[in-house]
Amino acid sequence: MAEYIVSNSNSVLITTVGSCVAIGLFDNNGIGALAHIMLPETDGKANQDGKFADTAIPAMIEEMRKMNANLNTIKAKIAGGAKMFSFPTNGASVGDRNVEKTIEVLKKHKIRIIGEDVGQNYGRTVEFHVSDGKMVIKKSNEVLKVL
Amino acid sequence: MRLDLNKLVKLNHMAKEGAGNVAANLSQMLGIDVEMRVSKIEFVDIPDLPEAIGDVEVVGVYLMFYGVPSGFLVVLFPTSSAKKISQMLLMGIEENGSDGFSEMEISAISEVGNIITSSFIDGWANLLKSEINISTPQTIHDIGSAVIDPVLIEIGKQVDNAFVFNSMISAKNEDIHCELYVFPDLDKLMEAIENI
Repeated sequence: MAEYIVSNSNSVLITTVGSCVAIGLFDNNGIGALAHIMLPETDGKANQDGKFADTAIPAMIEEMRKMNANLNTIKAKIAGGAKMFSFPTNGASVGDRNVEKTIEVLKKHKIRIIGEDVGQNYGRTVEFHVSDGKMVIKKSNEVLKVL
Repeated sequence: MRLDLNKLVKLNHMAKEGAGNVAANLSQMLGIDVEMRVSKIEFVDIPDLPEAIGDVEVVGVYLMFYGVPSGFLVVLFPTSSAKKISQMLLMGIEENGSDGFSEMEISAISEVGNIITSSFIDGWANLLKSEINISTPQTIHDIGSAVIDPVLIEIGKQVDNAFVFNSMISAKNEDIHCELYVFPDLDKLMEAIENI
């Protein structure tokens, strides 16, 4: 939670999200990254890149660049942003806002989203296969979806 | 943030008052011996909590409380305990052999969650001579770390560390357990303990 991991070694990165969003990025050369963001936009505090959609995505791209990723082949898959409880707050749920911001920031970086499983009202365990970008969505041991 | 010994004693007192009230009311409701142990009062790094809770399925009851202090409260029942409690309350009216929970079972667990959460907060309100209101509890059956994540998001909007009262509730003879997490707003909490 509130962090991202970048890898070039056939890793399977795993995290569980409710209203948070898991953002998987991968290039055509086996370099990938998975973030677990909590909130849409940064509050400007240092060393918190992984917590927010608008800081995690550029930070992941930069780390992937350092690993010599083919930046113009990077694609994304995203999951999460559920509405687990109804909070007595106005406007869209935080899950929806996380998803919206994630899509907006990916678009800004010209990264195409080729798979998504977002919204609804349940938690998701996300397995992201860095080598080929496969994203498996599970609930406990049951596979719900493969992106 | 530094906490002097006097404040720690008061916080401990608060935790025991809340927990004692829960044990008494729950014992009465279920007709069994219920024990409540305050295991921790601590600052935690918000991102560390989901891992501590893990990916096992739980039934979670969640609510917000408003007043001095205000905050969030979550009760997590392991599914086996949730099943037992619902069967105990429904007395065989509805037997659901599957892993899932029927609406009636969820509603029975909500009722227990309601007793736990309102007793804990009542214990605080009495001790602090403060008025604390609570929202309607909401109950879900899902992965533990996903159940807690919306609460951590709300807290994480303001701070990076959460101050948490963590208690274990158990009915040993029945093999029923659940865990209570109370996240008070720290500034209001400090204001509140001045009244003890």
